[in-house]
Amino acid sequence: MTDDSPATTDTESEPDEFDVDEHAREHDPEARVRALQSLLIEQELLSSDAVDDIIATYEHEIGPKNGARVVARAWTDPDYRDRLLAEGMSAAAEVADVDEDVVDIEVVANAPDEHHLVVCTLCSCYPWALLGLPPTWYKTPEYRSRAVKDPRGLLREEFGTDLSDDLEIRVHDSTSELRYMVLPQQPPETEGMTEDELVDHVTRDAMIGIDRLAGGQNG
Amino acid sequence: MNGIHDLGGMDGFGSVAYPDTPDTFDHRWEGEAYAAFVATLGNEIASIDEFRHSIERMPPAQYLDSSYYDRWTTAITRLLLENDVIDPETFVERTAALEAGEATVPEREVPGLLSELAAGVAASYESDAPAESSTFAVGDAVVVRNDHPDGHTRCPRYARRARGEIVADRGAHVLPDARAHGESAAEPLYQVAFDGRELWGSDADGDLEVTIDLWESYLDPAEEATDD
Repeated sequence: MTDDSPATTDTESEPDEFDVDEHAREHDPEARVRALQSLLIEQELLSSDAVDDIIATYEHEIGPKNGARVVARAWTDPDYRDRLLAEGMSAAAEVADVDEDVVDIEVVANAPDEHHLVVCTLCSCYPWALLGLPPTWYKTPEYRSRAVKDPRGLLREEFGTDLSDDLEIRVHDSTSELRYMVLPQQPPETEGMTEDELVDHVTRDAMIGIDRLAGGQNG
Repeated sequence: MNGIHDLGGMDGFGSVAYPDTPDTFDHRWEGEAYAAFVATLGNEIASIDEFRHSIERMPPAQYLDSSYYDRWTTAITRLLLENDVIDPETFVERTAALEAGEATVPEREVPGLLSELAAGVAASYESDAPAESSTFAVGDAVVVRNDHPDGHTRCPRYARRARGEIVADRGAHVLPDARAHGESAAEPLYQVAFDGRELWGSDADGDLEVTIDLWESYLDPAEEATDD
């Protein structure tokens, strides 16, 4: 690599160079992260209240309920659905308490003959503004490796979602800062429900694409 | 770099652990790792691309053995050391003291700091760039260049040499390959669709399409590439 920072280049010649990876192998991440936290707080680059607020925000405020509200509105309002598919985040901000400038999200819609699935093969990019933190399985090599190569087998064998053979499957590898979220089809048994009632029928898994929601299975 | 993080299409990892725990932090320290990440980006010590590249620089076996937030912790530590925000001796001593239960994390409140950090994080993720003219248009056939850069790239290995079609022009975006190394560059970004059999061969699912967002310098026009 030609672009390493000077710090790395300088220390490479020293015999007792500190190896951050070796240190990580030998010490518990909890102790290491608290050492970082201590040093950052001492320099006022971080604060105790900021740490508490950041954790509380992800545990209580940002989560899949935001995405579910967006989907429920799209199921009940065709004009909204069109806006959502054209301009994901600005439409999302109409119904969920999200900052539309924080990240771009493209919403992709399932259809009777088409199913969408979201993955990030290179790291763990996820439409967090609408779904919260990615679930653990989304971040694993098991999911990331197979989702682009054998999504139909992955959904059937690992998630119990059996897509019919004639259903076209579109996988979106999230390689840029643009994120993808799936708009599932409305399950037939929920027809006639109010938007508020529908919110409870939208699952995080359906908005990632590992589930197709009840009634949507038959392509 | 051709790192272990570039997992698309690899076989043999086995079963996915599902269902799993709720979508929040499993342990308090994982949320603290997230906060250290916010501090690193929010204080503009490193960009999101430098952060991703720092994870990618872990030895492959260690990457696979470490939990997700363990990888974050190691990557953040590397960035704080390289940018002289912390020094290795103090970090080693502090880790040992905390591990032995001989130290605690200092309590200090700084009103207003969080909103400053949030603004810094948003700036670090900002990838829109001033418009540049796009070489490709929706419908164009392209071939992904067979480049193997030593540094960071967002072009997955499984797409290299594959022929695809431009399905969306995203406008100009910051080039991660540059920003991961402290440089500044922007290029048109496209959504490119690939047929499953183009990526995975004749035995692949015939009803599979994979879309990947790719920067202009990752791509050649299909005609030129096939003439090579």
